[in-house]
Order: sequence, then structure tokens, then C-alpha cells
Amino acid sequence: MTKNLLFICFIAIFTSTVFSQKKIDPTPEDITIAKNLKEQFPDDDIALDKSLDFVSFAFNKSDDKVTVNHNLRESMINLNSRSDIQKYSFYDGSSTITNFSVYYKNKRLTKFYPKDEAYTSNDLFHNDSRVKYVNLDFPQQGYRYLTSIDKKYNDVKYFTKLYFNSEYPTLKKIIIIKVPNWLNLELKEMNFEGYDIQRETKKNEKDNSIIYTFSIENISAMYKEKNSPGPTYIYPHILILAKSYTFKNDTKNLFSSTKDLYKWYHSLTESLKNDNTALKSKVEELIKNAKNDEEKIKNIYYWVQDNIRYIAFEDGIAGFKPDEASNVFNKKYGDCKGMANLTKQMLIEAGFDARLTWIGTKRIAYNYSIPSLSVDNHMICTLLKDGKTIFLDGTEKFNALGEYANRIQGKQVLIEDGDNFILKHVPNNTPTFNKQKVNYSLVLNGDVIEGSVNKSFNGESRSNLLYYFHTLKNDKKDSFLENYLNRGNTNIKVSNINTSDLSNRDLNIEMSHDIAVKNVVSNFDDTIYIDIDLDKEFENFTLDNRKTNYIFSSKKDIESTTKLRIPDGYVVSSLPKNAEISSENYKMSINFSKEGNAIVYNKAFKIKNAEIETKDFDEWNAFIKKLSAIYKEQITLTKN
Amino acid sequence: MNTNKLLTLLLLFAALGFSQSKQEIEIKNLYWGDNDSQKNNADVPSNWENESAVILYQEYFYDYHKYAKNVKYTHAIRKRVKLLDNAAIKEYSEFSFIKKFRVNKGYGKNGKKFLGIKIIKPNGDEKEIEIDKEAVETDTNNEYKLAISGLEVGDIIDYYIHTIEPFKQKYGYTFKSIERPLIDIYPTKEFVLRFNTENDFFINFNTYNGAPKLKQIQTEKRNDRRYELRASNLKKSDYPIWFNPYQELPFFKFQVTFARKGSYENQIFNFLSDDEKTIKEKVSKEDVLELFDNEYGKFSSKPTKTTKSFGETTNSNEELLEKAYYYMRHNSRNKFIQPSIIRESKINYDAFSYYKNSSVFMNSDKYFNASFTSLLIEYEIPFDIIVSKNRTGGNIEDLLFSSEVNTLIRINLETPIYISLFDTHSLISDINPLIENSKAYALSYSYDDRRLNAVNEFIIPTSSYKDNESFEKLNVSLNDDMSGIKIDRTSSYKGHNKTSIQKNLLYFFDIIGEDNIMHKTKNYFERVKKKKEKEKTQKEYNALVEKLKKRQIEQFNAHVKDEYELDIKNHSFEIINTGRYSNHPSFVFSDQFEINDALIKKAGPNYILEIGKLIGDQVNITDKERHRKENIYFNNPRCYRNEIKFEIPSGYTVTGLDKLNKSVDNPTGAFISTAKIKDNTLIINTYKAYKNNYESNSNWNLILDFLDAANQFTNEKILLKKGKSIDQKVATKD
Repeated sequence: MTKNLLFICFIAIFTSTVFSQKKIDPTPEDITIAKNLKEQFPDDDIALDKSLDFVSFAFNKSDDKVTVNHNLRESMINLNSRSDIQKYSFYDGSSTITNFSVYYKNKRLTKFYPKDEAYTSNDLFHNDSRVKYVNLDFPQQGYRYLTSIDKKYNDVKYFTKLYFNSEYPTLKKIIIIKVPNWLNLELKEMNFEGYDIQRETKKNEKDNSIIYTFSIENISAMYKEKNSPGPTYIYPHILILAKSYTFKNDTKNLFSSTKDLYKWYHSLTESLKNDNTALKSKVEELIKNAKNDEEKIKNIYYWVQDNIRYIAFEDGIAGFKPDEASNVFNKKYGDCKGMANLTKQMLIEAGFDARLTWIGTKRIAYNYSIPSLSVDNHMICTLLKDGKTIFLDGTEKFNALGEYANRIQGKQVLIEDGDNFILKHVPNNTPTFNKQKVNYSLVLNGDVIEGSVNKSFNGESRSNLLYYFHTLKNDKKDSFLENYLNRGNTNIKVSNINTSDLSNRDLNIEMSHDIAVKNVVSNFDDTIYIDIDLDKEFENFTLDNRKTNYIFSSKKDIESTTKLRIPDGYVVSSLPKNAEISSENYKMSINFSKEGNAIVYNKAFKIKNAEIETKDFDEWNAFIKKLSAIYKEQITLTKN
Repeated sequence: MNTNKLLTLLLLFAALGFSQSKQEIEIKNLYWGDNDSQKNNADVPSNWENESAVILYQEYFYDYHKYAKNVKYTHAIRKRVKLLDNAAIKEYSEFSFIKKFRVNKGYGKNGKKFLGIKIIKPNGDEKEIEIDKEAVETDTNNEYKLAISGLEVGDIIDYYIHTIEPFKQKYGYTFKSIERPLIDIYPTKEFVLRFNTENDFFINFNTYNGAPKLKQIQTEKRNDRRYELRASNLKKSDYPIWFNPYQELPFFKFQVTFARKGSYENQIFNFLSDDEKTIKEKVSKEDVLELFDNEYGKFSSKPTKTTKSFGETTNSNEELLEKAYYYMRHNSRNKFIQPSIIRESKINYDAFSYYKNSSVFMNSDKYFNASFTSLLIEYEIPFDIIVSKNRTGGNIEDLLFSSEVNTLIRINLETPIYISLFDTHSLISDINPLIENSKAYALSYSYDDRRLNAVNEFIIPTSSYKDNESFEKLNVSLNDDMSGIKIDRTSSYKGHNKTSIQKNLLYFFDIIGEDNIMHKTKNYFERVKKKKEKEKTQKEYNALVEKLKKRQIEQFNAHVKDEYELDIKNHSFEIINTGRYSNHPSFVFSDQFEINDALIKKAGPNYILEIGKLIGDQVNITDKERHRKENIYFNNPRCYRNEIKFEIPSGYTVTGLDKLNKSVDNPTGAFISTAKIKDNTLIINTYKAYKNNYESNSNWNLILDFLDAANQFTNEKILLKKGKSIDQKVATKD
């Protein structure tokens, strides 16, 4: 009898696995769908044929916090012959993942058990982010999985936005947000223009809530492009602005306005002890011999830049609350908030009016009209002096006082002012501020080009170079200059290098050196062909197959002049063509001429807003192609 | 509850929480206690002031002790470093470490790591880092990360990492060998190695390349043995290209073997001294013979039926050996590739169930040698066991422990054959390039004694640069609008030049078929009987292969981009020969691609073509490297050939052939190029050879001569001159 039972069990197990196997294998229809989708999304491995976000809110009486439940249900289909992906979800001290399940397409639970790991990032030394993930293999084209992830946020202020795009293209995306009547919540639609997003609002009589439904079809995956604007510029999304809640006619504000946001930030900074004993003597030392206030400020600001390493700990509230200035001072490291606070406290010790200042870098599209934690991602220090506002960013190494990195230029700042706050903007610099200039004065000596070179670097072109130079080993600094100036090209010999003081960030960098270049002159049948350009800026810099604007790290203004003496007995028989182009974002020109017994070659490249917009791509690419062709053209000298 | 008791408990807890344990304090005192000899070591010699950092003191400590069945292995490093710039600050600004771990020796217990870090300011102020307070735990794995606080240029960082590894071992244990150059990337003021052992610990130790000798320190206890090595004022090394630190820099190496008297001493496979009180400093060839005769002496393996049967179907010993070698390569290695891929990609977790009752995977020299020699003995073919040493770790005279040994079999036929453990693609005649041309010991197997009975020194033959060849044949033409270059090429690789490229570019699906046909064996799917399962697995396997073929073309693409340092387009390839059998020893593939936006330059109505770049990127020696003081170590001699056939566009003539003709040929190497025009084709042949695997520094200039010639060739251009192509024939001679 037992034997028979066993046999029956065995048969049952065996048939059920075969049976279920059939149910989870892709059907011919699935395969056709996958093939069609692959044509539509050739760069993607996986598509979501459905993705549903369901968001609801609750109130936690024990700590007076509005909590959020975010349920994500997705149906994935494999577009490739085979795909191996990671499905993951992040959480941290303010959230928990309560369910992470993967199902076969027949809705049977798979055996994938999510792994749970600390999330490590190169930018952050330590943070409390963790990730749950499963490694999913899709063994055939058209294979499907269903995923279900539930996440809970302990406090609504950390739940700031919902995107429609995800890592994978999505055929139907639905976002449902159920707002209870006790919660005053604004759903701010961002970047909806140009997208066919359907909205529906329904009142749920049962529990007096309002259900908002947003849906869109056929939305692409998030772009995997480098140097793109931040996601808040390019994707449609919904900002979740929880303003207040009301129970029994008692209304309590959450972030109803920027004032509330500031109030919370201020409550964090107010709790700092600001015991500056540790840094007093350093401040005294730094200002003791300063001739005037400006020198005192510089000495403090530059000391912080030079002596405090950027190391970020984003652990719970430490992501928002600056570290004590004395801690940063003693540890000699800190994140942006720690450096801002140390700069502030040192300046206060020196008798100045310095304030902590919140700012969203250029990566974030918002300003402080939006009361949300997603508005900012950075902290600096503001100095108020003689009616002037000067911003100090300790993370920007080798920035001179009054100079601002491109990433914060033009952005709105929130400056502390007791119970109030001040809103201002970081000034914008012109590209000329970052001017790079180079002059070559060259002659031909046989097949070698020789001469002298002068270079100057201003603004960010200067601070970037200085920063890099100072991260090098002492014994590598000399060879670095040589390698930098000959670009690691052994055809270029550099000698007699002179530079301005590379430890003084208040000076522009001036460099001069001699140069001898081989293998750029070809001599065939008494005709000399010269490949004159050693820099070839923007060569082949076309922006192909790109969906997003191209963002440079800074505005650029490059001016280059080359003078080449025509050797005796030769005449110029051909010069490359000239070209120029101009738009609101750039102005570029390249020009060859003959002046007396010299060929004069001028280039001027200006990237005015550190950005090339997609609308300019055709024009930009046409110019870059022309420019690259000119770079390949030779100057031809023939015997007269 | 009694309040007093609670208070005491709380106090005790607080004390535990905030103070260091007795053991922690003891260990700290070992390094930084009152007897710390380095307390005042703070000055940097004036000639090193411009360095990034200077190691003021560096100490390695090893201690081996036993207590009944328990062994305690302690090892530590202490470093005291003066940080002279921001780069050095960055280097020493972060530590990651584990505190507890499971010892992986013997019956391992819990091991502990103790870390101490202090900073000494230029004014002498010392600050100890509160590691427990400042370190953060990275994950559940008992791993910690620490950002060093208060660190500034001019500071000294003084740290120790002290590790205790207790384990139980009744009989004996051979510790992993340790080799270390005395030279660091920073200059070192003082270097110390300390070493403590007692009875039952055998030491093999020596120093090389001018490193000071180990000295014994007298101790009060008879059992305690203490040794020390000291060196000072050591310059840094930049570790240049083609460098071998273990031939050029002073270094020490050692291995400790724990062997209880009578029980383990004779079982251990290592060169032990006769007496544990004596350090073994040299291993003689007789030692080698004795050890290997003991180990291999029985030669009791029997050949398999299959390998044995090859003798009946082959006409010569050479043929027999070849057949057996490739059969074993398949049967004891490559046969398992398919099921392991199927298992790894989760297609069938139980893929190996179809390989039960089959041979086992062979991955040890000893196992291979035993199997192969059993066949040789069966057919009474004479052979020696060759004991050699990888050149990168020093010479055979410097052999000190058995783990340094590479063994192979020399089969003494009319032309001797050297055979060693196979890998996926290896040929029967392959010899590891790193033992070629090095002195080795031949241990002769005697058919009279049935054992290894004699030892002789000899030099392992070297492959010639001609044996290790890469040959690329290119057919090159220009687009009609002269905007791009089309290349159709065939590349073949043989000898050592083949090994890495085969590994990078060949995938399992390129070789499984040919192996199964060659050995008439079943592939995975032919073993699966159930139709449905077979269909499903086959479908999923095919899907995997399709996916990996995309990856393979990406890899080919990256390989070409790397070779030319140029962007290429429209790349396709075909593998013509995998080069995995003796009858077709070259790996051959053909590929087609286009190069746009490079190499063609307009010059008025004419064009300049950077044709020299088509031989691929060449080694480019910087000014600093030209002044090298070290000898030169290559993996193996080798050569590279190119044949470029350039179709001259109609309506153009070619000028500038003279610069394409170069000839440097010296004892170290060569670069020879010729260019001629035949019909309407420019034919360029280039040849570059590195003739030896080692050159003394005095030959560096000779090497530079041919390297520079090859590099200069890549800078050479031709002029495509607009004009009647009929002139071409007049202008040039064949």
C-alpha cells in the first residue's frame, strides 16, 4: 500500500511538473509579440507589457506620521533569444520592502528568493540604502515573469515622485493614487506635454477617498545616455506634494509651502551644538596675518577646500542634517553639508555673517516654489557682507572666491535666516569666464615643426587643471606637465616649460613652452603637406542616435591661434577651407589665412550654456563633420 | 532589583563597550608600547623629500606555535608612513577590514584581526584612531570600512594589522608560501622581517638578489626559535614594462611546514630539512629526485581501456601519444563544458546526471602525469619527469618548495615530446612559455627499477620567434568618395601568440562540435532520452548560444578596436580554423570591417593615406622609459607579419614608397618592411620579431632600434596623387 501511494505521488509530481512546464513556456503568440516588440525596441532586452503602481496612504498614530504604501505589479516579457537580468528594489531607513515576489506567467510562485544587500556607491562612503534583488533568467524569447513588490514609507515626505518610464519599455503604464479625505495632497504633473497621458479622477464613496488614475501606452525605457540632463527634465512624472492632514478639524501642516520645508531643515540645523572650541585656534591662525577681510575669507575658504576630504555618510537623518563643524574639523573629512557647516562656523568665528544654504544642482529641474525634499541635493555656505552675497562651496576644490562651478550656476538657493529664509540665485558666468587660450608660433625645420607655445586657462578650465595637478604624486608632477602638454604623444617633444604659480587659485594659469613635432609634415615630390592642428578640439564629436540634450561639465570658450612661417622658396598652394556656425547655444569658427610670409590659423569655439540641445543636433553634426573634414585637410606648400 | 547591582552591571557594560579588551591592549603594546623602537622615527632623508610618501618603517611578523593539538599562526604587518602629498593622503585615507573570520586551515577555528592606527602630527602630537567608534559595518558579513580622520599632508600614519589564526591539526600542515620584494612603490627607510617558531615547525627560507640574510636571534628557551631580517634605505621601484621583480629586486621567500615528529614528516610533499632546527635554504637536484621518486615512485596507475586500445590502431608511438592526449583532453575536460554551461545558465540544474559513470575532471599535474605515464609504461616508451620552475618567480637554483614546481613529462622518442596537463585548446606539443629556455631537472624513469632513479640538469628547449607568429593579410580599398576604408582580412596565429586570442575569442559552441566528431562521442542532447525534455533543453540552449554569439561579435569588435586604436564599423567575422589539433595548429579567422573618419586626409586635389597605421598600434616608448636601468623580460620570443594589399583607386598614383621600406635586424629583434606596386595594387609586407625571451639591459638600445622603426612605420603615409594611373608603371619599378 505504501509503495502504491509513493508511486501515485511520484506520478502526480512528475505530471504536474510537465504540465506546468507547458503552461510557462512561451506560446507561439508570445514569441510573435516578443519579435514585434524587439523591432520596436531594438536596444532593449525586456519589455513590460503592463506596469501598475498603486499608491495609498495611512496614518501612524504612534509617531504622527503619514505613511505610504507603494505596490508595484509588473508583467515582463523577454525580447531576446535569452536574457539574464536583475530585478531590484531599493529601500533605506525610511522605508521597508514588505513583499518581493516573482511569478511564472501562470501565476504560480517561482522559487526566486530575493537577496538583500547593502547598496554601495562610489560617490558615498557609507549609506543606509539597501537593495533587494533577484537574478532572473528568461530562457527563451517570449518568456514571461510577473513581479510584485510592495514597499512602505514611514513618512510621506520621503515619497516624492513617480515616473512613468522605467528601466524597460512599457506597453501600458498605470499609476493609481488613492488619496484619503483627511490628507491634503497635490499631485503635480511634470513634463506631461507631448505625452498622451490619460487622467481619471473618481470618488470612492465607501471610504471617502479620491482615486486618481494616470495611464499611458508605449513609453520608452529611460535613456542610457551619458552627459544627459537629470531625469526630472526629460521624463514625465508626478510630484507627490503632501501638504497637510486633518483629523477632527485639527489640521497639521506637512510641507504645505516652502516655509514648512525650511522649518524642517531649520529644525535640523538648530539642533546642532556649534561648539567651536576645536577650530578657534585654526581660525585665528588663518586670519592673523590677513591684510583685509577678503584675505581672511579666502584663507578660511581655501583651507576648507584643501584640507577637508569629501567623504559622504548618508545614514538616516545624516542625509539631511549637517555634521557638527568641530567634527568635520577634527576628522578632516565630510560631505557637502559638513563642509558648508564648517565653512560657516569658521567664518562666524572670524566675525563674518555666514549662513547655511540649500541648493539643487543643475541636475534637478525644480526651484523652491515646490515644497519637497526632491528640490535640493547639495549644501553650500553663503556669506553676507556689505550688502553682497557670496557663495562658498567647500566641495569645489581650487575654486577661487566668488567663482561658481557650472553645476550650481543660475540655480536658486535657500539661505537660512533664523525663522525665515532668503531665496536668491547663484550668478551665471559667461563662457568667457572659462576662457582657454593657446598661441602657437611655428616654423618648419626639415620635416619637423618647431616653435613656442603660450597657453592660458581661466575659470573652470583653470580650477579643473589645478585640482587634477594637486591630486598627483609629488614625484609625478613634472612628468605630468610634460605628458599633459604633449598629450602622451611621443611625436611631440616639449621643453622649457614655464608656468604661473600652480598653487595660487586666484591667478589664471599661464604656461609657455617650446615644442618640436615630428610626423605631421610629409614631403612628396617637392611639395610639403602639413597636418598643422595638434589639438583638433571636437573632432568627430557628432551626437548620433541620441534622444537627450548633451550636457558639458562647464561652459567653454576656446581660442586658438597658430602662426606658421612659410619657408623660403615655397608658396601656399592650398589651404583648408574656413567654416563657422552660430546658434544660441554655441558659436564655432575655424579660419585659415595668409598674412605676409605666414599662415595664420584661428579657431574659436564657444559653448555658451554648456549644452547642445536635441533641436540643434542636425546642424551641430553637419558642422562637426565639416570641422572634422577640415582637420583632415593638409596645408600644401609647393616650391615656387 | 537591587539598584546597586544594576548600577554595577551598567558600569561594567559601559566599560566593556568603550574600552579596549585586555588582548587588544596587549597587542597594541607589542607595537606602540614603551619599547617601541620607532617612537622617534619621523624624519625623511633629504633626498626623498620630493617623494609622494616615505615608508619610515615596515615590519612583517610571522609566528608559528603549537599547544597539544592546537596550532596558533599569527601574522602581522606594521607600517609607519610619512605622507608628503594629497595622493598619499588618498592612498592611506580609507581602510576596509574584517574583525572575525573562520580560519581555513586544518580544523579551523575563529580567527581574529586587530587593527591599530595612529596619526603623528609634525609637532609630535599623536592621535590614535578610535576604530570601533569610527568604523562602519558595510554589510552583515562582518566587514568594516573606516575613513581615517584628521589626516593632513605632513602627517605620519602608523598602523598595524595583527591576525591570529588558531586551528586544530593532529598531524601536520603546510602553510602557504610567502614571497615578497623588499622594494615598495614608495622608498623605505627601514624594513624588518621577524619570524618565530618552535619544535615541529620546518622552515624553508632564503633571500635573493642581494637581500640581506635572515639572522637567528638567541633566545632563552631552547624550543623557541627567532629570526630576523633587516634592510634599510631601500629605493622605490616604478615596476616598468617587461619587468620581473623576482629577477631584479631583492626579495625573500619562505614556507613553513608543521610536521609532528614521526607522524607527518614523511608524508609531506615538500623539501624539508633533516632537522627542524636548521633552515632549509637550498634544494639540490638530489632533493628533487628523492621527493619525486617518493611521490611518483609507485607509478601504479593503469591506462584506461580506451587509451590502451589506441596502441592497436596506431602505427607509431608519436601517433599513439597524440591520440591519447587529445582523447584525454576531451574525455577528462572538454566533455564537461556543455553540461556545466547548461547547469550554470539554469537550463537544467541536473545536467551532470547524464555524465554519471564517466571519467572525472582532471585538473592536477600529478593526476595527469600518473595517467599519462601509465600508458607510456604499458608500451614501454622511455620518459623523464621534468621538474621546472616558472621564470617569473626566479630560477630553478632558487627552488625552495614543492608548490613552486611545474612538472611535465618528456617522452624520449627520436624527437623528444614534452607533455603537460592540457587546457581546453592546448596542443600536445605546447610548453608553458614561462619555463621555456630555463634550466630544469630531468628525473629519469628506469624500466629496470620501475622508479625515478637519476637526475640531470638541462635546458628546456625554447620556441623560436618564428614558431610564435601572428600573420594578418589585409585587402584594403577606399570608398568611392574617399571617405572611408574597407578592410577584408585573414588573421592566423600560431604558437604562444595563439593562446590568449583563442581564449578571448573562441566560445564553447565553436569547439564542442569538432571535439565530438573527432572523438565520436555524444553531445549533451544525444544523451537525453526523453523527447520533451530534449526539445525544451535544446530550445533554451539554442537561445543561450544565440545570445552569446552577439557577445562574441562584440568581443571581436573590441579586439579589432584595440588593435588599431580606431573606431570600426560594419564588422563581421568567421572562424576558419580553431587551431586546436596538431594537424591544423593555427587559429585562423577572417573578418571584414570599415574605418571611417580616420587615416585619409585631403591635400588639395590629392589625398594622404596613413597606411602605416594598418599594421596596428605599436609599442611607443616614452623618453623616461628610454633611460631604463632594468633588464628586459618578455614572456616568449614572437613575431608579427602583415601583408597589406592596397587597391590604388583609379585615377590616382601613389608616391612615398621609400619611407615604407625599413630594415632593422639585430640579435634582439627586427622590423623589416617592403613596399612595391604590382599592377594596380600597392603591396606592403612588414615583419616584426622579438627574438628572445630575455635581454640584458645593455641590449635595450638594440630593442629600441626595432621598436622605434615599427612605431615610425605607423607614422608613415603615402600620397594618392590625382593623375593618370598609367604613370604609375613608369614611376615605379617592381
